[in-house]
Amino acid sequence: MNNRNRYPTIAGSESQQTPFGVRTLKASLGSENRIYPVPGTNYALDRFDPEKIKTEFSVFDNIESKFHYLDSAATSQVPDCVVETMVNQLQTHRANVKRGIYKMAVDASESYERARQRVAAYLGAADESEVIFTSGTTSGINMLAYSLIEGFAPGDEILVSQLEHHSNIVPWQIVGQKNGIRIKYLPVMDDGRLNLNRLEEFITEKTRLLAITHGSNVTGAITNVPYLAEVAHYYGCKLMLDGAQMAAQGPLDLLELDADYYVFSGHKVYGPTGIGVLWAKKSLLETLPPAFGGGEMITHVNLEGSEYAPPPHRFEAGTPPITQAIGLAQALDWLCIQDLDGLHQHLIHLTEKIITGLKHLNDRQHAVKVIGPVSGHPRLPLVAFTIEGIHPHDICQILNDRHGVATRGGNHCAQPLHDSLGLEGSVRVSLAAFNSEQDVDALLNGVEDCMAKLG
Amino acid sequence: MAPDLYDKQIVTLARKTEYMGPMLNYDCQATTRNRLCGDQVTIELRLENKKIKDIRYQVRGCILCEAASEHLASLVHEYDLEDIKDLRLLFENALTSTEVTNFNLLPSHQVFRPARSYRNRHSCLLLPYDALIKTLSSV
Repeated sequence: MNNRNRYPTIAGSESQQTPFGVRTLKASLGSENRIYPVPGTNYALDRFDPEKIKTEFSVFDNIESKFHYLDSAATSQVPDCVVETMVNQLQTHRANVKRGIYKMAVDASESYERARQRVAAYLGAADESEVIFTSGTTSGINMLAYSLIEGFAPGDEILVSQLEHHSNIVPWQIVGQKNGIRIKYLPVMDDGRLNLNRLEEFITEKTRLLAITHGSNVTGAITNVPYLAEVAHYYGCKLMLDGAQMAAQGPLDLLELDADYYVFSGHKVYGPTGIGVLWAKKSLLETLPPAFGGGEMITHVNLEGSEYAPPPHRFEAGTPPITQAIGLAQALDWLCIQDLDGLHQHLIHLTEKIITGLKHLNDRQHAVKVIGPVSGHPRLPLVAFTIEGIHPHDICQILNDRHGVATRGGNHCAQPLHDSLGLEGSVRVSLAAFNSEQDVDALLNGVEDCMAKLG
Repeated sequence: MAPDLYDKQIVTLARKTEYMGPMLNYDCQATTRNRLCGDQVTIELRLENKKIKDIRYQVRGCILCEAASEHLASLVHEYDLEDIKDLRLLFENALTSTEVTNFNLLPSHQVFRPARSYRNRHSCLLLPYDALIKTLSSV
C-alpha cells in the first residue's frame, strides 16, 4: 500500500481542486426549501466576501472596541440565522419530541428529525438513521467507547495517536483500564503530521479500532484518511475519525472517506454549544448496544429487562438537545450556501499569510517557531506557534490587551502532542469565514509588539 | 482601560532568579499544577521547627507565575504553614475584593496591583502559594 495523499496542499496545485477535502455541493430540501448538501452543483448565492459574511454575525456589532476573533478552533461564532432559528423554535414549538400528540410536539418532533436529515446530508451519510445527536465530540467518543467496549475482549487493542485531543485519548484510557484493553499510540513526526509510515507497526491481530483525528487542533495537519481507512480495513479494524476541527470546513463525504464512525461538535461549525453528532454505518449501529439507558431509547420495558429501539433512537436516551440540533442543522445549511470554494481559498490565503508573517518575524529574531506541516502538505486554517522565552499565556494576554486579538494559549487539550514535540505549550490562531486580512494584520502586529515588550 | 499587566516592575521581578533552582538536601518538596493552563511550580524547603529556613523554586509558567514565585520566596523566611495560608488569603482578597485598599495590607505585593483587573490570571499568581502550602503540608 502506498502512502497516497488525496488531499490538497497549501501551496500545491491540488489546492485549486477541493480545498480541505470537502464537498461543495447542495440542493434544496422539500417544502421548507432548505439548502441541503447532496451531490450536485455548487449553488453558492454570492461570491465569497468576508466583510459581507461578518455582517451576518451580530456578535461583532456588540463589541465596542476593536476585536479580532481568532479562536474558532475552540468555538466559532454563530451567524444570526442560527440564533433566529433557535429562538423561533423556542417561541413557536418548544416541546418534547417523540411523545406528545398536540401540534407543538409534532412540530418539534418534525423539526428535530428534519435536522437529522440535514446533518446526514451534510455528512454524505447513506441514511439519516446513522446520525446520533450527542452533546458534542467528547460525549460522542465516550458513548462510542462504552458501546464498543462491550464487544471487546481483554487483550484487545485500540490504536489512537499522539496527535489527539484529550477527548480522543482519555475515554479510551478509561474503558481500556476497566476492561483490560491496551491503548497504543501512533507517533507524530516533527512537522506535526501523523507518522503513517509506521502505521502497520502498530497494528496487530488484536487491534480492533483506530481512533484518529481527521485534522489536528494544534498542528492543523489533515489526516490522510483514505490510506488510514485502507490499512485499517485491510487488517480488519474499524476506523473512527474525530472530526471536531474538520467538520467546519464544509460538507463531507463519509462514504467516500470510508470511515466507520465519525464525531463532531456543533459549536465549532458555526452552531450552538451542547450539540454534536456521532455518525456510524448503519450496519455497525444495529449491532451496538446502547451506552446509556432511559426513556425514548426502548421499544418495550418490563421489570425483567428492556428491548431497545433501533438506531438512532437506541443511542439517544432521555430528552435530546432539541433546539440545539435544529440550530446545528441551520448552521450547516448556512455554511452550505456560502461560496465554499471562495471560502477555502480565502482561508488558505490567510493561513499562508500568518505562517509567512511569523516566519518573517523569525528571520529577524530567530525566536518564532511555527508548529505543523510546512507548505506543501494539507493543513487546516489554524496555526500554532511558540516564541522562545515567552510563555503562551503572556503572548495571548498582550495580543488581547493591546491589540484586541483573541487567541488561545496552552496545550489546547493536547498535552501528549506537546510533550512529543518538546513543547510546554503554544499559541494557537484559528480562522473562520468571518476573518479578514485586518484580523491577520492585527495578529502579526501584536506578535511583533509582544516580542519587543517581553522578548 | 485596564492597567498594563506587564509593567516594568512585574517583568523585572520575573527576571530575578535569586531563589530559583533546585536545592540540595531539602527537607520537603512538592509540585503544584495549574489545571487551567498546565503551568507548574515546584517548591523545595529546609525547615527548622516547621518554620522555613531556606526555599528554592522551579517554575514552568508565565511571567506572572515567575514573578509571584520569586516574590513569595523572598518573603517567607521563618514563616510556617499557617503564616503562608494567611498570606495567601490576604493576597487573594487583595486581588479579588472590590476594596482596592486591601492591597495596602500587603505593601510588597503592590507590584501585582495591576493584576486585579485580570481575573483569569489570578490563579497564575496564586500557584506558588498553593505549591508552598502543599510542600509544608507534606511534612
